[in-house]
Amino acid sequence: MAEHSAGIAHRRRVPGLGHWRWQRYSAVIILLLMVYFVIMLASLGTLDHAGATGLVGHPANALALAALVGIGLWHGTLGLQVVIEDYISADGGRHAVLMMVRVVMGLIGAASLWAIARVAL
Amino acid sequence: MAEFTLPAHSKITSGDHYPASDAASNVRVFQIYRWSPDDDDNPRVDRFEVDLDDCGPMVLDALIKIKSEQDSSLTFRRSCREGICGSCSMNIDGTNTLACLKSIEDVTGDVKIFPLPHMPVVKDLVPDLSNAYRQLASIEPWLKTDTDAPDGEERLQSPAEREKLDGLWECVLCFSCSTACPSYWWNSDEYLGPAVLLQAYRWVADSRDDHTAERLDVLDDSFALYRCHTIMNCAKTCPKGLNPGKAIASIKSEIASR
Repeated sequence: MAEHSAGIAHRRRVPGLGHWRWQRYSAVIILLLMVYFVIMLASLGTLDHAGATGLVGHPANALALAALVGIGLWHGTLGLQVVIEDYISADGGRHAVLMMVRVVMGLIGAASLWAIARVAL
Repeated sequence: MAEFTLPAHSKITSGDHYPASDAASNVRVFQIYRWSPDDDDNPRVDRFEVDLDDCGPMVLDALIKIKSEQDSSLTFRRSCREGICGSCSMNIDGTNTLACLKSIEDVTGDVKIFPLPHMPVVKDLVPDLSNAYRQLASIEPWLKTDTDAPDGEERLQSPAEREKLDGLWECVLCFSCSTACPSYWWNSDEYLGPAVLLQAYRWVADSRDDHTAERLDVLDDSFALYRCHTIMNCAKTCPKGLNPGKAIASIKSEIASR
């Protein structure tokens, strides 16, 4: 990375386009997956437990749920990153808090995917 | 982490009262922030009564009258008194603007005047703009070319190319926008702020400049540029009616479309 010259003498440049772009891409993908999710949720109402696990465990539904969880948590992590970078200074533990949030989101994602996999497999 | 209490000597207190003369017929109160580095006193808000029948129409006229007739120690920047130099930017009636362009008539009740928010204060209504000027210098706000200009001639632009600079060149660098931006309040050490980014786009958009790619490389930084969350206080407060938020969006768009 190039040494940054835009008024920031104390650190190297961190490109921001990727974060900015993926925030928007993930938002659009979540919106589409949420439509799918709401329709699936509505169709659960009339089913018993076996029927419900069967619906959630269908490969297409399980895949869509896994994608929603993964991309949703990723979108949330990107959003929290903005809040943390806005309000916590570099000297105030910004990087430590960011890492903590990423680990917690990762754990939530892993637990969610494991739960979906248990139903599907 | 965040500080939840104000540092010593920073709480604003009630200040002195300067009554108008008995002959005054149309009195208006101006509440003005005062602070001096020459003593350990807290900042205070002085109240000046001004006879509007013997005063120009703009807030700057009243400030000059107060300084001339009531308290010569009142300190503020001013120069052109017609919205060109950008010197007299301050917070009037809760909004950052130029005192020379703000009509007293447009303010309801007492006219409250403070320095630009969230900047170190040099004295009274004079903020320290050193950081903002340093940031402006960092984007190299001048034409950068790899070739010499045609001998004895100017570098020409088509009318369409010139039109792209409209809404950008008019900026007078008063920093009303930057100091109205919450992102700039929290991260002014790293975020360039709307005023400097509008200037940066003024050179990115200039067809005569040969260093557009290099300029965009420098601007593609998670803090220098992407702290803008399109809050749009900048466009709302700009006394020249410009839209720095749109210029910032254009920079993002230019970077994304490369």
